[in-house]
Amino acid sequence: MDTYFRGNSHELEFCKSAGAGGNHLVAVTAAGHPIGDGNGHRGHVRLLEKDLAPLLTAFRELPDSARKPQLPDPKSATPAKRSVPKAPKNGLVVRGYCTYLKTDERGKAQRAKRLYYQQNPDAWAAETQNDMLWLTEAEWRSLIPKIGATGTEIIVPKEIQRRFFSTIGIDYMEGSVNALPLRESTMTVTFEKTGQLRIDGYGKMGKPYTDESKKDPRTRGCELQVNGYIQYDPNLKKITDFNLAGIGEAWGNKMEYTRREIGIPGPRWKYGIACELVTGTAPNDLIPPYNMLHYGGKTKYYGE
Amino acid sequence: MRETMKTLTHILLAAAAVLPSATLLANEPLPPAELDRLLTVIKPQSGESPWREINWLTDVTEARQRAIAEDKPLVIFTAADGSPLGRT
Repeated sequence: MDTYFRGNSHELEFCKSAGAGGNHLVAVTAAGHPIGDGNGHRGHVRLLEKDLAPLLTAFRELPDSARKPQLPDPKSATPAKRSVPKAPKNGLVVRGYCTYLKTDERGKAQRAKRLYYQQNPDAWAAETQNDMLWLTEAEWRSLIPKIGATGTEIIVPKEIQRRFFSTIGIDYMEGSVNALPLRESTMTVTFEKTGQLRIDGYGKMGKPYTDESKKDPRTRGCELQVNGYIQYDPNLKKITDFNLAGIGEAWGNKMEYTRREIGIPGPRWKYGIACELVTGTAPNDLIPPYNMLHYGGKTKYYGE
Repeated sequence: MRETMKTLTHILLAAAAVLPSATLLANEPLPPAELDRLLTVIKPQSGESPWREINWLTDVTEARQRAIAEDKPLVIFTAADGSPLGRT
């Protein structure tokens, strides 16, 4: 749950009672009462059996009235101040992943696992991040060449290029990072055979790389090359697969308001982007793109 | 005239698809096998993020109702500035 979207008045009250805010996990009853004595370290739990098992035991020892409280009538709740944005009707939902990469002795990109916050007192291992890309129906349809001849090439509309490269084409391993302005890009879709389109692109985002990029604030920048395939079913008139991978290089101080270092030798680091089509409706599939939200940057998500 | 316009259009399209300035990366298309390998390398690895294997609910009321119906406690996973299921 995003703390900014805790729901209607009943849900907000429940979250406050549960202490559900900020970056952590808490274990509570449906009434919002913390379980156990202290509920773990500083009132928070970890997703570890040794943390959760005693809480489950404590929960089972509670009376029925505590385990199964009467919930207030939802009709009496005041609506949420902010509603979670929904994907555009008949739009395209793509999940992007981001991770750090390194080059092995054969020159191939591999995962780099120990790059995150090594010089930070709270050092933790790199974990793949994910985010969403939303396109409207008109936008994704513009990616489908109208002439089905091998080699037919179309240039992806600039707004789609901007949204892709600026939001999920950047290094977002640090999570809460604003979209980077797109300085320059190219992206084409080529008809290869019926049902299969190739997509190729290159983007330059944020500040250009200079010798000052590592030490000065507000110097984030990156370049990314992407290639992939879109599967399109001409009978169903819908995209059935979207596989895109990219290798990029990033530089600069990552957060604009702080100067954290991530302990990488050299002035630039490699990162990778992978994309896949989302067709499900599970809560996990409905998460809005980070840069669409009010704290994710000033640029309008769908452009001007 | 029509053919000239067509050729000119093709030239303009080709020009628009090429970056005008030098690139830091090689900018050569990945062969299909390398593309598949990269997708596997970049996406979450097996066992990397066990929390991804949980079917989290994002509707608080629904979660409370299910907790009561199934006689289970709730674990609430929150993040400031972003969903913990996305990037934050």
